[in-house]
Amino acid sequence: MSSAALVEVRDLVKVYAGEPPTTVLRGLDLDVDAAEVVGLIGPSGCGKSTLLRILAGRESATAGSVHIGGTRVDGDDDAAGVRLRRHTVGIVRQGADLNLVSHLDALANVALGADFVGTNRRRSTERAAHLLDLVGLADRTTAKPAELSGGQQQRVAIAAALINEPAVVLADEPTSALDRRSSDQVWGLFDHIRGQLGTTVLVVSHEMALADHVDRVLQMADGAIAGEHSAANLDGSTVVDQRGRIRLPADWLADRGTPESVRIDRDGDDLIIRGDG
Amino acid sequence: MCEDRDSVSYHRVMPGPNLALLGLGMRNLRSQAGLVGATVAIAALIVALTAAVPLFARAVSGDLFAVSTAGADRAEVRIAWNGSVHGPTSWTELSAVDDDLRARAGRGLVLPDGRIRSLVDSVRFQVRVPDAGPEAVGSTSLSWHDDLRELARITDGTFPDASFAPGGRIEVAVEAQTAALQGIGVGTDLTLALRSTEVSIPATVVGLWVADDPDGWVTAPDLLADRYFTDRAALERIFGIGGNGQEPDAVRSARWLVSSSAADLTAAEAPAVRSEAAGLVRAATDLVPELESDTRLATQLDRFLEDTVSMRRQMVVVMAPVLAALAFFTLLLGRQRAATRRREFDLWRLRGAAERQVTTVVMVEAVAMALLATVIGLLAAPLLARLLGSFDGFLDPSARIGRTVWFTRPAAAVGVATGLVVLVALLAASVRMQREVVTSLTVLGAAVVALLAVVLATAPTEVDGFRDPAPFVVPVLVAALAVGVGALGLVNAGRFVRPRMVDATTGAASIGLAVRRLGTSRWMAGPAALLAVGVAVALTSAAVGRSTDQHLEETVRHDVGADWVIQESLAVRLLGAGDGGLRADPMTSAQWREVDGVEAATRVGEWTGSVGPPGRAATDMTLLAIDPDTFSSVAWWRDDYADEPLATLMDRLRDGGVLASPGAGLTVGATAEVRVFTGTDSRVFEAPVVGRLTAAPTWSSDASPAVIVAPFDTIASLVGDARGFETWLSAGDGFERSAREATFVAAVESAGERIDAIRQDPVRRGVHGVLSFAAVLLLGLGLLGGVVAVLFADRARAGERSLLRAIGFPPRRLGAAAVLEASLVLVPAMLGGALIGLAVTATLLGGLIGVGTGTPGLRLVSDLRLLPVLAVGALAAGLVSHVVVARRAAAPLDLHSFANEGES
Repeated sequence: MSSAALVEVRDLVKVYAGEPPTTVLRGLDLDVDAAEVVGLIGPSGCGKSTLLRILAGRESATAGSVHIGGTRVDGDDDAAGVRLRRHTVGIVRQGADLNLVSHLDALANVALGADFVGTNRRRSTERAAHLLDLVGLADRTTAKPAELSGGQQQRVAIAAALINEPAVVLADEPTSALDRRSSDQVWGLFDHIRGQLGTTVLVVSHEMALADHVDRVLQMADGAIAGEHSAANLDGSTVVDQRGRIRLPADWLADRGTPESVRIDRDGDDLIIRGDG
Repeated sequence: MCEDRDSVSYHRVMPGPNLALLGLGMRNLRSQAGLVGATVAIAALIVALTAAVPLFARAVSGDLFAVSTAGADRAEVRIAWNGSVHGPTSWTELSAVDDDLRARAGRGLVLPDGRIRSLVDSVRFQVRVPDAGPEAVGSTSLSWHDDLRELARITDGTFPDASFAPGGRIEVAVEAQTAALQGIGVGTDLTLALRSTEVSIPATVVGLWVADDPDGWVTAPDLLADRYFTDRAALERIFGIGGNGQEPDAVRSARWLVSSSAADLTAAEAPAVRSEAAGLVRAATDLVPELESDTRLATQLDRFLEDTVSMRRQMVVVMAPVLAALAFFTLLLGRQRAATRRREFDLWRLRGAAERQVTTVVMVEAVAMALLATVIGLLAAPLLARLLGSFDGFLDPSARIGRTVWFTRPAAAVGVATGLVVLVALLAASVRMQREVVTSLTVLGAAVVALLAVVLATAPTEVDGFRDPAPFVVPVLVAALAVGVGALGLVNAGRFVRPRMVDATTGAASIGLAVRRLGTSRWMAGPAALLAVGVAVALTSAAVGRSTDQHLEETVRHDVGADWVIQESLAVRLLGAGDGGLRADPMTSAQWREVDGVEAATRVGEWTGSVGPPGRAATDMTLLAIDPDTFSSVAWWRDDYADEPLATLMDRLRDGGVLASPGAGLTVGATAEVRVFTGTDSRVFEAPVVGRLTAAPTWSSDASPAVIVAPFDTIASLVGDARGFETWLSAGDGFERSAREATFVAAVESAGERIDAIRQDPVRRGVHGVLSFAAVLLLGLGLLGGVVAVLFADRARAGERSLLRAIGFPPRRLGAAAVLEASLVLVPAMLGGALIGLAVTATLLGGLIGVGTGTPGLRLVSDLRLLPVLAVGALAAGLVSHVVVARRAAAPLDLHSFANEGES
């Protein structure tokens, strides 16, 4: 826990009313430093997306506190939420159709957020073009979303999330509908923008591939952070024991089930492990 | 490497309005061109209809007025003067018109003894419009009892004062100056001569009067100005009256004559005039019937006013549901627009848009659409008004709109229309929105209402100077409807959303699928309601038209009493049978029955008098004499005119009794003393009351509080005078083809002709035309709404359709299910709307036509055979939608559409 963390989440609790009430987050603590790229993994229903919505100011917490850049995030304060989304956080959701306006071209989609802020049109256009260049789509500024591939759409969405220079980008399953190649491009893009813009990225995914592109991976389970894995851990020291056996974390397996047998293939420098049964 | 964040200030917020939002709204409009176009078209139609109705009414009013005055811009005012002069042996009524009076101004009427004795008992004003026809088109008169008390004040005596003139003597008031000249004062006994009967009637002067007008007389233009025109300038423009308030020469000279003829006549002039007096009397007498045959302008204008109000009221009643249906349609389209953009709005919020900004964009779009619709609608309104006027059956060709149709105050029209359309568009576009929009709508609604109030307070109130008695009804009603429909849409918005998936795994037969799908689409409630309203109003319009037609016929026949009414005394005159009255009339009832086409004949007589218990016959009465043997075979009679069947009443009349209305104050079984005035004296008889009338027969011309019906023979033997007798005929078509028609056409008053004449009345034709137009429009809208909604529903279910295809549903079955689903909605909506329409019609009829005492009641006339036609129409609508739906169902499987399922 760093005292200089950009994102500070303390003892966060979220309970949805109902009969019986559903507790989604149970005293979650989280710190994310500036310019850090953090992955958040966990089984479905563990509270990942709820955490992101609370961080984006779109939902209120039942208890606990959230601070981003020293400012408290309060989901009940609509005006504060608007300010937060305008200046502090950028959001990328799963599925391109949720990130882009279908009748606007790529440039207009990226610049959309600046329109709501009231940024000078010429400057916002320049900025949007710059961001499209940053995500490798400088030649597709006039393309409508339907004319872009899924990966390109998500890259446009990431550019759109960056239009107002947010301190944090919150990405919720940004590669869920993408193939491996496109996913890798998106993961690489987060690292790239961190490098170019110094933006902090908190990305939710259930793909372990993100481990190659993030500084650390937080394991969520049952509404709390269950563990933290750095890329190095997953890369070998922890999962490969002294006898050379591959040991997968129990919670990681819990999310996927224990296969009766596995098949290991080599793909260049990668080792592909597939479960059977 | 991190970018230098300080190098560019990307977050600089521009001062002033955020024009980017404006551009965003415009781009959104382009992205939904189809829906936006449909919304604008409907809104434009709302504006056009809203504006066209008053334009049409005013144009028609203006043209009717122009027709009434033959388009003349100048009129000549004449005055006819009725007076009486006392001759050596008798009083003789004198009448003259101004041409004669002007020629004889200053000569007056001098009696052989050199004294001038004139008594003015009425002054007629006659407005003659050049080129209007061979005769003047109207006249009005001052009568003692009505106008005198308004226009003059009694300076001496009391008028009327029955106690001052006992013994049944006629009371008269005399103009003060005339009275002074003639030596007449309060209490003077005079003898009045009735021209028609040449019977002298004793009278007593009970008052002297002077006109309130300091100039001494109230002119016809003043009368007209006070009653019909909003400003003097309009009157002067139409009638060519001098702008300085001067009376026309004719008025001035006549007034001078009336008030001063005697005074200015010197004894020296008297002999020169004396010889002309008798000729003047003869000339005046000849002229008087012409005057009486004229249509009085005042009456004409009164009727014109009533017609205008009635037409406007009926048009409002008819057009308001049309406009409501259109507003509902706009809401439907607005809902579709909002539904397809929910994800977009959500994304905006993620990108930092405040709710207020979303609202702003929506409002920008709504206002843009509203302004576009307003411009289109206002430009189309005059054309629509002219179109309404050009349809056959709408207007008589002579009354077709010939003038330029345009807004009297375009700015006011634009203000009202813009406000209304913006309100409707905002309501439609904001169904999806949150509390900020509702707040904005509240503010905007208040602003619109305030604007409306201002506009209405300053709106034009006349057309071509003619007073428009109800200029605000349409916009007020439409505004209320718009607000009401919009509020309803907001309140019920949640009920129309959230479609549920059909469980495809249990999908079986098309019927089962259709039933399950029914109600799962938010679109189905809209068209069903719209169609039901459309059918209801269409049926209402048709039924109202038919019912009012029947009511018109019944009223006219009831007014007349029979198909044909022969004024016997006139018939005698035309036949050259002399002045002997009934006894000299060669055409008795029996003879009439022999005329070709005459199916039955009876005789009816009417007198005035008084009725009451024996010895106390003090209640004014109209006595109707009918022949119990033949009356029921000829007379127009409805069961609700009396407590008992007509046959029963006739049986009792044959036994010598009389029938009495409640106003007579006599119960059945009581003995009535009936005093009949014969013109010269009165006759009395007593008879038992054997029946009770619940409605006074309106064919009686007298408005006495009591009506007594007695056997004809009893009255004929009592009175022994043919005057007032009529022969009533029940005649078929053969009668009109009879060779006798030419002979009797001037002598008969035909109910059929009256009905035809009223039906040909331009106002009535216009109203019927609008009714028909509205009915067609509503049915078209209802069907169009149904089809469009079915297509919307199908579009929203593209994913469901693909899923059903994927699990093995054949395209044909899907298409059939869609058709069945549409029919399951449309047919009940049609039939339900029909039933609602009948119910609404029944309640509206009383409001559309004021039913006065004694007129026939309104009966709902509708053709239930229309219901299966409506059902077939609904099925046809289902088939129309089937074409597209089935084609879509048969289209190649669209896997992408799965992702679109449940887009809301």
